[in-house]
Amino acid sequence: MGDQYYVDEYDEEPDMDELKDYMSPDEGDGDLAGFERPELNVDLSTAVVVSNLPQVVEAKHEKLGGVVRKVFSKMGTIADDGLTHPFDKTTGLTKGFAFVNFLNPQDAKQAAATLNGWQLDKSHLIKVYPFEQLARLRSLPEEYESPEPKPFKPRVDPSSWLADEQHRDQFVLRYSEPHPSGKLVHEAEVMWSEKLQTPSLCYGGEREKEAGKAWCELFLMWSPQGTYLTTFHVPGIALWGGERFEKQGRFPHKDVKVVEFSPCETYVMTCNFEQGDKAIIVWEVLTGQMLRAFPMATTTAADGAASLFRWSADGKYLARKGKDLISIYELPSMRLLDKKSLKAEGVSDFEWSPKDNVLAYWAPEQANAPARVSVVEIPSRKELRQKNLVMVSECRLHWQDEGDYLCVKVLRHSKSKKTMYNNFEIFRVREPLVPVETMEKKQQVAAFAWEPAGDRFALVLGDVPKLEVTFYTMKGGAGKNELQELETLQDRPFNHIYWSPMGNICLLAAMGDDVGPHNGRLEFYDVENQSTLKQTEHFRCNYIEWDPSGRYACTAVSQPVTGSHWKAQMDNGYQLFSFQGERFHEFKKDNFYQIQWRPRPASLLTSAEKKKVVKNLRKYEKRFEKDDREKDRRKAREAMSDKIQMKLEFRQQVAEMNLRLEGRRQELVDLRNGYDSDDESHYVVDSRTGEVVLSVKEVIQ
Amino acid sequence: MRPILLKGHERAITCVVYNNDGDLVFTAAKDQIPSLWYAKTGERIGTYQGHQGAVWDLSVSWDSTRMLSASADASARMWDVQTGRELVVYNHMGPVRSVSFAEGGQRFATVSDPFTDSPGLISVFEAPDDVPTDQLEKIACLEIDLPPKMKATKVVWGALNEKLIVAYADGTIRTFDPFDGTELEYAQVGTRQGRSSGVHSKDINRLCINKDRTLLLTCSKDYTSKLLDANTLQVLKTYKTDRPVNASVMHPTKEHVILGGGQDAMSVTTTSSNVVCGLQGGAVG
Repeated sequence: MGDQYYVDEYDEEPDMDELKDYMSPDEGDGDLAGFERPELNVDLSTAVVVSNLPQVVEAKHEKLGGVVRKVFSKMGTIADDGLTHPFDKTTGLTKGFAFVNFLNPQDAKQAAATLNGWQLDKSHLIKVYPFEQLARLRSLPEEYESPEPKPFKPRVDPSSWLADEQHRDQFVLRYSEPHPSGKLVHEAEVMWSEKLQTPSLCYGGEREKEAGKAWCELFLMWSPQGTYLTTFHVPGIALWGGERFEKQGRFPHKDVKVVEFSPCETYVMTCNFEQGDKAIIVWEVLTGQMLRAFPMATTTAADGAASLFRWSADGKYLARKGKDLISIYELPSMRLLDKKSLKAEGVSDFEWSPKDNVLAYWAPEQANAPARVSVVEIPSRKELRQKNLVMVSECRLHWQDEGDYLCVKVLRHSKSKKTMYNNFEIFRVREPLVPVETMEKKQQVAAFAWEPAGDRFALVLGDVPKLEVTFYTMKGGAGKNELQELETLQDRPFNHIYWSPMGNICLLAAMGDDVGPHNGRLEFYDVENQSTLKQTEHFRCNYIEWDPSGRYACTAVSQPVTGSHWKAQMDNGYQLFSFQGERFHEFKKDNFYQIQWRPRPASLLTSAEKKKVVKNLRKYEKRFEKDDREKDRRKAREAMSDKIQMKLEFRQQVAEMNLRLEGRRQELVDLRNGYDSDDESHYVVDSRTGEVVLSVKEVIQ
Repeated sequence: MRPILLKGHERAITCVVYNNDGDLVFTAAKDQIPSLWYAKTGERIGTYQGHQGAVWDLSVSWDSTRMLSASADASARMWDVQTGRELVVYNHMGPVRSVSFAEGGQRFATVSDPFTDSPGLISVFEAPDDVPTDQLEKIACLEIDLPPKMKATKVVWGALNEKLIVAYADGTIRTFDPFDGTELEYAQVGTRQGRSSGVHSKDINRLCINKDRTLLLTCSKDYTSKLLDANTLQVLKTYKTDRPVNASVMHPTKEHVILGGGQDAMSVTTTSSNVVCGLQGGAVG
């Protein structure tokens, strides 16, 4: 074997006589007694093994060696005589492997990490690993022993919640309660949302409590289609699913801060923002296998989140911004797409389209080149559209949910850089040649939001607290293809927009300290009918989310799990609203951390089928209404019977107590100097009769 | 039913009590002057002048002739209800938190806070109504020392004057024999964080007893109010709310309790609506 060959050379004892020859005459008279044998440098951390190289004839031996040297010298400086590429004289071919010795251990490490799996030519995918790993390989038994197949465990159906007969949605709560012993008891509860009623508990970690464990001590997160509930722990993350939330997977990664599932939930990326090679890890969800690890990008150390990877809509690609390029990795191999990054001169930020493998990025002005926004199709790398912009301070990319439109909010400055104004560049991505419309606004932009699956967007302009909310449609004008203003709501304090996932209904909210006394004001607005449904308030709320069906919205005042509360604990808790703005549930907890609706997978119905459902809504409604009525009645009956039972028990107790005192009535009377308040004779009944004339009617006969 | 707004106190109200017949209302506030009102019209009959500190508690004798007040000026005073005349001043070592007439009005009990070296005290006084008031004994016939630094917030008499029921600031309730001062029962439900165990995990703000003296109702900063058997101190019901409970009363004949509460003015920064009275309808049953 190759490793044998290499190591044996050094394992030989150095010949002492030979050493003597090298010594100068005046050095110890040739006496070796005081001579210390030089330490052999056995540090092999600078060496890597390259295998799976092509086996070539002697004529090509040198040429291949040159290629290997060229490839590896890109990783760092190779030591003199650092390349060993053995040739087997008996077969007349090279042995198909080589050793590369770098000057510096880091370079060796980098080479092993980067070049492992490198496609040298069409049929040769080279393998590179640190020399130290060979020891492990040598200890492998010669005979292959197939591992015991693990007994088959049927997977629980992680989508069972979708089959709920009443089509309820779920949400998860995180809070903690002080235990009498003084410690905080962490609670994580998955709740069923009930129609305009108090939610009911689905699973609250009972199994873990029984085993004396806490289900979740940090944060919780649903996967994008709601299949898994992710719990964050110090050693890593765990996924839970199925009717009783059984454990579905475990991904060991210390102190994970950010978890990004691919939109299809096949892969998951975890990140802990720490130093080292494994700050970011990409996993396969079903097998729990690590696909590849990355260090944090060094170019953007300042903003950690920006150096994260972003998933394409179908989960086939993972991209990260680098310096003047965007690196796109293909899944599941996690290799760089076409072996090279997408060139993007001066890229500042990019976003994938939520539906297609298209990404948009923008780059600020550089030297004499203008700033530009570019829309690129992947994997063809065809630039669908590029737009140059001048006097740009910052850009924000907002894709519409369906990927039909891309709005680029451009913050521009005047020539003196003293005044700022905004441009909205709206790309119609699906139309041929991608036409762009531009809208200019002088005021400050507080919020922008596309209508989910719609052609409208809402824009909040102005200064707090007198803002104006404007709705626009992309399908205005005669040809239904122009940008058109629909209406404007003047003088509103709202600085946040939350569209219902079904569109049309918009929840406007004033949040944060800068809105002052308006903090927590809400308005439910029907865009189609241009009418306010309800103005209401959830004082100091800092989190708003619609349920995936658009029936309810939750508002919450929460605090971070790790730190203290933001303002006053008194306000912590959540409230539920119907989409008409009626509040129907309130929950308060001093230590309230999180509420999150469980997402649903995309609907399987085609738009024609959806229209049919809307048309026949009455029919479906009847069935559900009947169910609701029965459920309400049953609930009321149960509550009633419980109440009656409790009342009876209580009355029994009180009667017993009174009975005890009844026999001692005389003692009480004695204490009161012989006055018995129950003795009717102490009371004087004074009855008087009064007459009041209400009206007089005179009848003349 | 139309609410009548009683306007007469300049500072925070501390205590509101009806007399036995329900035709008079006595109010006390931190402004040192208790007032008397007609329950029906809300007309003020008069005031009781003499205290030099906030008045914390009032107790009216069963025949509405005499009234007792407990004040932060380290005194409890007995008043003639009808004339407003101060009858007796009972001096204490520290601020007096609570005062309560016994059944029949021949004796009464007070609790006072610890002050400098002296501990908090539960004191029982003799006050027979056939002795002229200037001859009444001003020295307590029984004094029970509280543990050092411990405060008691409220004292009431149990059925047939057989025991004194005292609420402690640590969330416990204890009962004592009113003649020899021995401790009888100790309510040990729930625990205060890391401290001694008690009915509530935080201060008990108030305690009230029903007319038959069979049920006790507590209210506490720990957001709950509890209904207890006055004889055994066993917790019968717990009413949970979302804010500290400052006051609670039982309906004299029906199975209802009313709880009132909110955050201390001290700990409120800015809130929109923080004081809400919640009626826990049918909550007793």
